[in-house]
Amino acid sequence: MSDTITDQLVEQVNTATEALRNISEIHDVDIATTPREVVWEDGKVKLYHFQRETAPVAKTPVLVSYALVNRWEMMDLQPNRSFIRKLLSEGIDVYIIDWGYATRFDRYKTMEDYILGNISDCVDFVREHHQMDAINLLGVCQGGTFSLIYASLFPEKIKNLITLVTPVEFDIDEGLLFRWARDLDVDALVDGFNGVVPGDFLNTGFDLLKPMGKTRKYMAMPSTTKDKSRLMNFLRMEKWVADSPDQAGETYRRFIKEMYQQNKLAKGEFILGGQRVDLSRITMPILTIYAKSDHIVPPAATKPINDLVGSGDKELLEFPGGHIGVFVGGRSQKLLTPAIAKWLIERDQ
Amino acid sequence: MANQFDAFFEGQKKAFDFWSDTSKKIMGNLTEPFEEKTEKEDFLSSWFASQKKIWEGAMMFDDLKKVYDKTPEKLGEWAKLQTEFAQGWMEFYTKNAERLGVKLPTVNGTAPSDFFSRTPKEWSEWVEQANQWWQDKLMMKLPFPQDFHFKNFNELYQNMYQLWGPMQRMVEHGIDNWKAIDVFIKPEEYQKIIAKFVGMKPITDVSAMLGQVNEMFSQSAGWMEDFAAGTKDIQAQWKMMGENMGAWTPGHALQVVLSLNETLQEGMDSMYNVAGRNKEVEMARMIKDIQFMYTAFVLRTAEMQGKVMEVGRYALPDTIRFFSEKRKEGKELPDFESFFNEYVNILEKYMIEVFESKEYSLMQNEVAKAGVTVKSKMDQLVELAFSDFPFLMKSHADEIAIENRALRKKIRSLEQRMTALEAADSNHTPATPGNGAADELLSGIGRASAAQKDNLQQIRGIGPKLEVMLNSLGIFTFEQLSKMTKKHYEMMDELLDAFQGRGFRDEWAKQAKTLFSNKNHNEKS
Repeated sequence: MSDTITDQLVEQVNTATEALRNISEIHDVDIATTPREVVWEDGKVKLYHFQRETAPVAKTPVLVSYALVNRWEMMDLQPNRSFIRKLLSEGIDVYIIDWGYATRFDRYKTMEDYILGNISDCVDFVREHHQMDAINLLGVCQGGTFSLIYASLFPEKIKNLITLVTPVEFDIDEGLLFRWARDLDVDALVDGFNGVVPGDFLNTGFDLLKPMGKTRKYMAMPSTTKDKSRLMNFLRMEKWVADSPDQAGETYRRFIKEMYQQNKLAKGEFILGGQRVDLSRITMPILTIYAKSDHIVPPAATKPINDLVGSGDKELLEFPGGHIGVFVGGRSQKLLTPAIAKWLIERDQ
Repeated sequence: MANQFDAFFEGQKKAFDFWSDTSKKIMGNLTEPFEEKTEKEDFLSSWFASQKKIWEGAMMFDDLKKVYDKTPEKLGEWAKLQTEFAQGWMEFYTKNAERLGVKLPTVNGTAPSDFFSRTPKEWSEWVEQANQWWQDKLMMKLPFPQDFHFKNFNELYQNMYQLWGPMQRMVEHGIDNWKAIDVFIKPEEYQKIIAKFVGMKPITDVSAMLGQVNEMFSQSAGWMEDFAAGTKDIQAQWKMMGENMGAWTPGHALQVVLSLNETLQEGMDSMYNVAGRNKEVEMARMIKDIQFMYTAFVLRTAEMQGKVMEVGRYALPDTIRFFSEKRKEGKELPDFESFFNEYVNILEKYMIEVFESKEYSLMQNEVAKAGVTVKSKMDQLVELAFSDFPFLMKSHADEIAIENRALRKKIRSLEQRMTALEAADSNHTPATPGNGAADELLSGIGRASAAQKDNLQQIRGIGPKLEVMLNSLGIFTFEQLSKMTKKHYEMMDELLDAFQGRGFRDEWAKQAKTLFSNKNHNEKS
């Protein structure tokens, strides 16, 4: 804090001048700029292949399965802090599934449709395209839960598995979402919303996990706006947060009931397409990454993956940060992405 | 004396650096060459030089008395110079800021070029408006609905700032009892602040709100009942409502739009005639149902909010106590920002304690349930009103979604089956070993290998998929098919569990015989 009123005034005018210029100069808030092409699509679901200028170091490509909640662009929010871009530069060939935006027509789309349909199709596409029996799968959050289910049903098709902030143990008391979901009358909710659960409804819940999160963010606005790159970061994040797809009702209903309320996957009672999902059938190398201060998927929900799988080559990796920091923070660029690439390259033979 | 002037010059230099730095920044951002650069640099330098001259002039007198006598005159000169400079600079700034695309906010329609003549009140108004201006600009860049949250926050911050005066004094005097605080800060005001923090629409007066809800619903239900009893002309009613919605005064240039609007209006009239007709009683009943659902929603929301308010109200006294204690330890009074920060931390801590309770979790579920129940009943009401229209309703869309789901499942099972068959084909393993039925079929019509494969799709009734399936049984040639009898067709149908009777109906054997003999003929010739 400056000493005199004059100094404060000078500082204020200075800040305001910068803020005025910065705000005036911004026309587009661009996210997900890493060049990519659609290589496969089925209805609303698309498979992207990120373009590379050089040959990858690891010959086995990695397929990313993101969560249905929110959009995959989080992994490519801005060029200098893009999880995807960094993975590419570390020598990995990357594909990602874009789930699209569920609408009324998808209200009966089930977990079978997502996992045995979409994920399975994408895995097969990449396998065929590279003429490989097995490829790498990287699941993010709920997309990680889906990946675990898929890998335990088709272990022969997955060479290495990585889960990022993925919930598998739902019977925990850490994390408000886990407490609240237990008391949620999900039938009333899905039916009341006519089978499509609005993204805004989910966002309200996420906001309440840190009730003052928005307030703090806006309190920092004057200093954010005077620095153009910080202002862009802020606007990109806001754009991402606001872009929250609605959820296909049947999948949401089942995920809340059988995961959050009944913890069926961890208990080995979850059935998909008539088959019981047994996580001990996962025998390929697996890397389980959790975030130490994750308030959305606490470590207690993630770490048990390491005990439930049948793999001999398994590793737990702690990231010093929160759920979102895993993808956008400076530490993600410095620590996490290189570690993932290294782990994959070591297991590429 | 000299020291004081030094200090004064120091301040002047600082200000000079600030203005010249800001000017440079503006100049640096201009894409076009800056024509008046030299002139403006001179302007800044001459301003500084003139000031120096004034004060050096004032200090030239060796008699201290003369210095004192001249001071008011010199101060006057200096003040005039400052005003001239400020105005000159603001003109320069305004002119070039516009070239940069930066529009300066104005106060009551005037440019802020004469700011030295402003009163402190006007100054703070200007700052406030400038603040508002950049907030508006920022809001435009924010995606929906984040702009709403940001607006909410700004209001909240302003509300808190308005309470800053009394809060400061409370810290000073250690008034941290919430009953005492209530005297200075009205609980309703405070409730609004907390509600804004969590993005709730505050229900401050439950009975007043329920009164409004009841009135609104009773009126709607009343209308429906009136329509049913035929006491009012339904056509006239709907038309009136429609016209009210579309009523506006057009300008001269908007005549075209208006006539289009009228055409649309006429088209809509027939719709109003039919909407809800003969369903008035049912609709009135539904409206009454919704009325009670909505009442339940309001009550549950108020209950849940009450839970948050209950702990929220302790956050302010505790923040005041926190800083009073610090003051007792000899620390300075906090500024508004630190106070606000600490308050936010304490409030969040208390809120999370509530959120973690089972009681709150259950309440929250009840609120969500009540909310969606109202919503879905409203949807039903709209569907009922327009059920005689050729519109695609939500429930119709649901039927398509069910169909969609069934088709997706069917496609997946067919794809799986095809993949299995393709795998069998590429492995050249006609008729799985140990499959007695297939073996029996092949012993009847003869065996062949993939190498001898004919294009079976030349036979009418055999498409690509069926060909793959036949291959999977070990049937590859026209010759094999030409030997098919009714018995073999039945065996094949049973093995494939598909295309029942097609081979027999389409006379594959007969077609295959012709193709086989043609093939032989061609090969010989």
